[in-house]
This record gives sequence, structure tokens and C-alpha cells, in this order.
Amino acid sequence: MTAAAMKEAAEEPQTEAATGAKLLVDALAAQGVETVFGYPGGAIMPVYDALTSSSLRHILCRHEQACAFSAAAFGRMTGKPGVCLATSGPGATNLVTGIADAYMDSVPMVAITGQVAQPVMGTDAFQEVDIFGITMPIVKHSYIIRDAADVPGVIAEAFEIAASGRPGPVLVDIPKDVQQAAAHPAPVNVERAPAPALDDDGLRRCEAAIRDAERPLFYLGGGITRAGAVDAVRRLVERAGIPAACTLHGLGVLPSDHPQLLGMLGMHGSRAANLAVQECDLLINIGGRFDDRATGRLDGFAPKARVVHFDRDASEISKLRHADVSVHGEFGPSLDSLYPEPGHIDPWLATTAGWKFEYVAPYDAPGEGIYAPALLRDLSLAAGEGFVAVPDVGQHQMWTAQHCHFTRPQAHLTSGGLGSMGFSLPTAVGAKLAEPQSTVVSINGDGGFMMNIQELATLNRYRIPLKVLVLNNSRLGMVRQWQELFFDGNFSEVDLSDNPDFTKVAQAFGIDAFTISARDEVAPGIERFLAAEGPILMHAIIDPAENVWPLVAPGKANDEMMEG
Amino acid sequence: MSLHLSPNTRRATIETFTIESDDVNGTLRRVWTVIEQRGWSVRSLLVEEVGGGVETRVQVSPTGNGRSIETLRLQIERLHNVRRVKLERRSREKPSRWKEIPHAAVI
Repeated sequence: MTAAAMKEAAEEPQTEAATGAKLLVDALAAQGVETVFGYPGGAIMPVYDALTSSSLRHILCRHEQACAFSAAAFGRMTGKPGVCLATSGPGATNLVTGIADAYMDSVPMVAITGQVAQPVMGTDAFQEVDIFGITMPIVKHSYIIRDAADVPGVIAEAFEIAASGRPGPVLVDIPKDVQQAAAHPAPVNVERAPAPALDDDGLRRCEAAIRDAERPLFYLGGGITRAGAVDAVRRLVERAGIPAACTLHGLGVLPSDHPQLLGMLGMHGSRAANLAVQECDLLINIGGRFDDRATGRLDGFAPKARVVHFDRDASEISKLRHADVSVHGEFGPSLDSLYPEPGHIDPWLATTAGWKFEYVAPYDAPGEGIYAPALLRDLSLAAGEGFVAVPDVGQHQMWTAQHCHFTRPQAHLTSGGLGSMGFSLPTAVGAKLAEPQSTVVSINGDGGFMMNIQELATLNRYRIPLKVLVLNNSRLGMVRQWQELFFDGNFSEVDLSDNPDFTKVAQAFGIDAFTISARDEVAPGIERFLAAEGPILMHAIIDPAENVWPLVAPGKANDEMMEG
Repeated sequence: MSLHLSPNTRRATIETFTIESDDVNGTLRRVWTVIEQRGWSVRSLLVEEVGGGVETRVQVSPTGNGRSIETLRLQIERLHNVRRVKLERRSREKPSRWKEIPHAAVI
């Protein structure tokens, strides 16, 4: 070797050859990942072999769907991608609901799946499935890694894509032979593109619109949290002095007791918020996407309003409701350069304050049975600042949104877009591991609880001090309510009165559990529930006939609210 | 994939995009998925390697009412690896002229 060649060789970065599996776990660690949620199987075994000598903490869930929900919970809590692992075939397909849920709610997540070896791909090999194709409509991006050398670069890029701009899930499919192959890693060169700031012209037009409006209203959506703009939005709302309504995912952007907050809008929104939306003459949407559950009948939504729409995803602006003023870009820091100077809005403030006072939620339900809305309100108040509610999907999800008190958006993790039953328990597991100091409560109906009940084993395995509430009305409550109201009371397949005894089930999993069934048991029950040091389940029997009110019927405008 | 069109689709507008992307692997499949997922039909498709990237010319028509071509353009443009999506031309072809529109998909 010549002297020049020796010098050149010495200057080259020296990297040892490693297997694709080893490169993967190292790449995850390099991204700052500490915890991954997974379930082993044939096509991901080399990765599990590499895991044992890595710094990563692996949480063995008892179903891949739970792995995906738990990983996404990390993303929901931290804004950084959570990671789940599964094998090929059924392992991969079991992730699909969790991936779709993360996509619909714009949650950063990286899902890693094993794949059959490349020589047999496309041959209908054992546990082969085209997970790349299956997940195509529900991921922000996806990869099949063909060369072990590409593993570090793909993982770095996957994390960047998942967390940047409008966040979302990214799938990385790794054939088994790639996991086993030894390679020198290719250089990693991932650069974050600078986020576009809000355009100045849009901000000035927004200021003018606010100046001209007599009845302005903020519409606060989940995009605020995803953009890390909660503080900036709070400052904006307070210096504007304009009332605000929020979406399901916007809950917590303003604290529940904020004087300007009229509550949640939409199908089960507060009457004050819905009336304000219908009467406002300027609707300032920040990070909301005019979801049908928020708008009701779209052509009857905010009929008197001009619309200002802030969004970091340009394709959301004017997608469903035309924006008179569109402001595209990262709205975190840029919002501080918006100087709203409302005109004569005092009568409007008085009107909205009056609605808020007049339509306060009642908690004096008749009878001696447990009234779920009151239980949830009391639980959130007793838990205090560290409270994190993770409802499942159904009536209790809406009661949680309506009646719990939230001080920040991360205090309310909910499956808003996809509405996935079975969401709560695994999501709460992920949330508790992401924020061990918080009081995380998994709030379940009896229907959804059965969909991922096996995760009680995960609670016990790691002794995760999670609080699990089951509100048991022995029905699929929301479906029952709709059948009562819109299908002439023809109840079809909603009776779950053959549920198992949830207390005994939990105890069989090694979880402390107790049942309450009367109103006077609620306060001591909450006290015991919150005082528990380990995992605990509180099983509350509630009235099967209880409905969620108010309700905007499908196809109706938001001012056509039904009351019980 | 069938090119048999419903009567509604036959009466619909044809729109033409040119999509500039970094590569063709996965991107083509992803673009097609977005188009169909968002309520449009792919009517013809032409993919060419141009310089260091790929240019895809695609004709689409809506499968229902109330679809915004600009929203679809932005939904494709936000895909990773897609550099730019240009709306080539807007046409409101009469049904009798549909057969004259070339459908030779070169994939």
C-alpha cells in the first residue's frame, strides 16, 4: 500500500460490519429511543436476538395492536415517535388499527415489522403479507429495507418524517435476510427542512378580519398540540380577549376552567360552544380540520362566519370549509407576531358568557345509582394537576371530554379520528411509561375493555401503577343510544349483560380490583383508587339507560341540539 | 383495477397533474393510493425518468361530488419524495369526447 493510500484509508471512518438487526437497535438508540413495545415472531427474531444486548427496554405487550397503541401513546405524550415491533404476517396486520389510529390523529410513530426473506417475498411464503401495501393509505411514509447498510439511514429518516411537519406514523419493513446480513452502515445524512413560518400577509389579513368582526370566536384544534404551540396559542387567546371553543383534540389547550373557554363544540359539545359557533361572524380556526363530528352538517356550520384557518398542512385549508383567510405554516412562534385588536365586541362577550352560565352541565341526576359524568368530574378534580385521562371509545369517551378537568392537552389522550375501541388500556400503559409521575387513568366502557383486556397481563408483568376504571352498563352504550334515538328503539346486538365479572378477571391477572354500584360508594372508591400504589381496577356499575347529552343528530346543524 | 367507469364518472371532469418526485419506487403506488382514497379515479398514467428524478403525468376524474382538485393536488404534494405537483390544465370534456382521450397507461 502506498503512503497516500494508507493516509486515505486512515481518514475513512472506520465502522465495523454488523448485522442489520444490530444496526437497527443501535439506530433506535441513536434516536434517543429508550422503550419499544413489541411482540416477537419468526421474521423478527434476529432483532429480538440483538435486543438482549442493547440499551433498549422492551415492553412485551400481549397483542400487537396493543404494541401500536402503547407506542403511539409515547408520541402523544412526548411529541417524539414511539416505536413498536412486530413480526411479519399476522403480527404486522395486528398493528394496522394502531397505525391507522395514529395516522388519523397525526401522532408520530415508527412501526417496525419483520418480513420474510427477500428470496421468498412474493411467493406466498409462510406469514408473508404485503404490509407495505396494506398500510399505504394509513402511513405518512413507508420503507422496505433491501440492504442492511441502509438501516441506520432509513431509521433516521423515518424518525424525521414521523415527527416533522404534520406528524404521523412511518412503517419500516425489514426482510429477515436483511436483519441477518452483515454490513458496514452507509453514511447517515438526514437534514430537517426548515419549517415555513406563517406568511406575514395572512397574519395581517387575520388582524384586519378581527378588527372588523363583531362576534369573533377561536376554534382550537389538535394541531396546536402537535405543533408544540400551546403556550403561543394561550398567549394569543388571552391578548385577543376573544372567546374560544375547542375540538375533542383541542381540549386542554386552554385549561378547562379558563374564563374565555366555552367548551367543546360539535356532536356532544357544550351548548354554549355550539351556539357561539353558529352565531359568530368570524371563526379563527387554529389547527382544526373541520371534522364532521365537530361541524355537524357542514353547510349549516357557522353560517354567518368568515373563516380564518391556520394550519401547517396546506391540504387541510379549504378542504371542507372555504377559508376566507388562509395562514399556512408553523404557527408556534409565529403567532406571537399576530396583534389582534378586536373592535366593539363587548355585547358578544356578554352573550357568550351568558350562554356559558346558563347552560352549565347538571350533576344532580335522580336516583341512588352512580352517575358517570359526576364520577368522572370528581375523579379528575381529586387527581389534580397530574391527571391524565385515557378514555376508550363510546359514551364514557364523551362524558370524559365533557366533564373532566384538563390543564393541558396531554391530560386527555383520546382516539378522535379513528374511534378505536380497545384504545384505552394499551394507550394508558404507554402514557404511564412515558410520564411515570402522572396519575394516568384508563377509562373504559365494558365493550371496549374486552377488546384489549389481555393488557392487564402487561400491567402485572411490569407492575405498572396504572389506574383502570371500567364504567359498566352491560351495553354497547353509544350504539344503544343511537338505536334508541334513531332506530325506533330497535336494540340490535348491544346487550353485553353476559360480561365476565371484571373484578375477578382483574384479580386473576394479579391486579387489585373492587366494584362500586351505589352513589355513596363513589367518594371512598375514588379515594382508594387514587391511593393505590400498584395497578388497580375500579369497576363501576352504571345505568344502562343513561345517554350522552347534548347531542347533535347526524345530518343536523350544531344549533339543533337534543337534550335528555 | 378496472377502467370500467360508472355513469357518474363518465360525466365528470378530467384533470391532469404532472408530479415531480425523487424516485419511482413506492412513490407511484403511494400517489395512486392517495388519488383513489380521496375519491378520484386514475384515468391514465405516464411515468418517465427525467434527470435525477421521475415525472408522472396522471389524468384523474372525481368519483363523486364536492371533490376539490386543489385539495387533491396538495394531498399528493405533501407525500414524502414528491417534490412538486403541477395542475397541467383543466378541462370540462363533453361525454362524447371521452373516448378520444388516450388511456394508454405506460407504467
